[in-house]
Amino acid sequence: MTRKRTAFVDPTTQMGGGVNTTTLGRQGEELTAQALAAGGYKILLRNYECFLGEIDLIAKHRGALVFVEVKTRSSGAMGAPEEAVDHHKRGQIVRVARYYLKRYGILDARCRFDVVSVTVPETGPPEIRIIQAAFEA
Amino acid sequence: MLSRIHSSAVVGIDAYPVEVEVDIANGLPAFNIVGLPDTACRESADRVRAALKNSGFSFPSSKITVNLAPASLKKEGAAFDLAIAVGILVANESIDAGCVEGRVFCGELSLDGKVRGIPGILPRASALFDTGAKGPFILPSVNVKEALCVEGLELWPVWTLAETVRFLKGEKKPPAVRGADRPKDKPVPAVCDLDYADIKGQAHAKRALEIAAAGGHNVLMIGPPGAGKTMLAKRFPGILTPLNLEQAIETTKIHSVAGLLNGKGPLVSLRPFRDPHHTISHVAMVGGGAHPRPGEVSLAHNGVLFLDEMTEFNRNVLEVLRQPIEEGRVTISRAASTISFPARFMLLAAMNPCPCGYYTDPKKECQCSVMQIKTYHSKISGPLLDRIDIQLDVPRLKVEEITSKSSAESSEAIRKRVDGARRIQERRYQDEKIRSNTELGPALLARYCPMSGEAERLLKLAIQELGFSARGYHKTQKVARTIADLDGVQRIEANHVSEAVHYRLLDHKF
Repeated sequence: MTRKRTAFVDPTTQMGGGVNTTTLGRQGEELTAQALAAGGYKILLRNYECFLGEIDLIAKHRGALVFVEVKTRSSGAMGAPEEAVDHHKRGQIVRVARYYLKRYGILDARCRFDVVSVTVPETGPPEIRIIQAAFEA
Repeated sequence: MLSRIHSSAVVGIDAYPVEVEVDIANGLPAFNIVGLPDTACRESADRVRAALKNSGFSFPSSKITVNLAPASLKKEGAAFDLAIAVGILVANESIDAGCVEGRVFCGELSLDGKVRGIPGILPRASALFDTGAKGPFILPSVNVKEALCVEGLELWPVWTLAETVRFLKGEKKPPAVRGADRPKDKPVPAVCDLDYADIKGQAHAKRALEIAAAGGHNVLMIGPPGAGKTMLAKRFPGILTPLNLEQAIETTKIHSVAGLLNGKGPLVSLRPFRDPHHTISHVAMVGGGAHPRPGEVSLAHNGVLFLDEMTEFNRNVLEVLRQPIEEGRVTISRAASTISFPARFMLLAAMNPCPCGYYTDPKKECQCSVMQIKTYHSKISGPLLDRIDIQLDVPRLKVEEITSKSSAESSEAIRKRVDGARRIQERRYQDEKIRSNTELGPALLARYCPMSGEAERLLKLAIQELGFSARGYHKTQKVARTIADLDGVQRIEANHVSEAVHYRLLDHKF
């Protein structure tokens, strides 16, 4: 993956742009891992990939297996980060999760899908919101 | 864990028990409803989720499967919401399984956990009672009046989901209403706010309607615009004998399923009077839809169906009336199911004598051609006209009648006579399948309509002179029978026949 991705520049606010979204994404995932660990999650895997797609984080929380999707934005100008986890994206995550459960023979494990919304503005502290049980299969 | 909750579904006007099974299992979180739910029923998932959360319960993030058994019966509507929510709480071990044993739950949930009213409570309650269950039947508070007439059934009217759970856990004493407001053998008082005392003149029309009410005859009123046909019709329910208990329950069931009760009740006390607009479709008239619902003919069951401006109705709408008039019920077949609704009503119709309306008017000249009038009358088919016993001319009022100060006879007085004639018929037909004179077939006519020699001669003369058909002959006899009943005499006399002949207007005038 070498193509450099940059965010869309909003012409009215001149926000965004310049930041490499791949880097931003990595940064968000890093921040999320820290926040989750602080919230009692035990991170099992990061960037689990299979032929169906990718899951950002797989963690254990209160006895449940949690599939975490992290969405990072540099501003709210294009809508909240979690809004980008649409029907299509959810379907993909569910398929990967199902593959994972099958692969390890744990289809009857208690599961959950969380979405973590991270906003990293150019100045100021990042904002992290954990949405538990954000969607269902 | 698995839980089982009892609920019920309505098909036509009958209710069937439905078992709501809820399974909560590990695995990818999901909420599935199976057992042929329709859209409103499937969307129950979202209502239940929000209602549980907003009532202070946690919603399990697990694989939830809801089965509405029997799986072959199509489920419609939101009536299973409450049962599903309680099922989840039991499966979740928030409520002990013993708390829901033998209890039946019906109700729609709103997102804030309130229990909303649903249609079809009376059929559900009475079906439950027929199975021998004593309840408690947990139902929306707004619908509780409907269920009150089911004697001996314990009812728990509830306002919210949280309240329901408190009742089940025994934290709060349920109101435990018992269906006892059932009016025993007493006739239900009929109150019609319109009275025949308001109508001046038209004594002849009122007399004909009195005969119709007494014998259950269908009526067609023909007259110029403004003569008072609609006024006469609107006051008609006031002179009908009150519903007896069995009829009231039947009618209330239909209105309950159609969702027309709106917390009124417990029983429909006045005979229904339905006056659909002439643009009505034939499906709305007889009932139908993917999941068949009662139409106007069924809503008018045990009452009156009034068709104002009868010639303006679509031909097919009028033709579909033939079967219900004959059989007293309609059978509707759709891909989903075949359902039979009761539809025993009296047909009351009104029309103008011609397109301009003044054909029979002595003062105003008619503008219509003979052809136009013929076309106008041909809109009502012979077979349908055959089923109408009384055809009635409603002329324009005379000046002295309009301005007169004297008030006319009240509906109450007319009804007393109608009641008397009905009682005679009930006694006479107690061993037969019929209830009123209009249902007399040719065989029964011979047995129950003894005529004096003079009456017989007059009727023969009418057939010869006025060209009555065989059917016209039978109808005249039936109407004469009712007139004799109103007089309280056993044998039909000449004056009864002559009055009856008079009500065959279309046979000789047009």
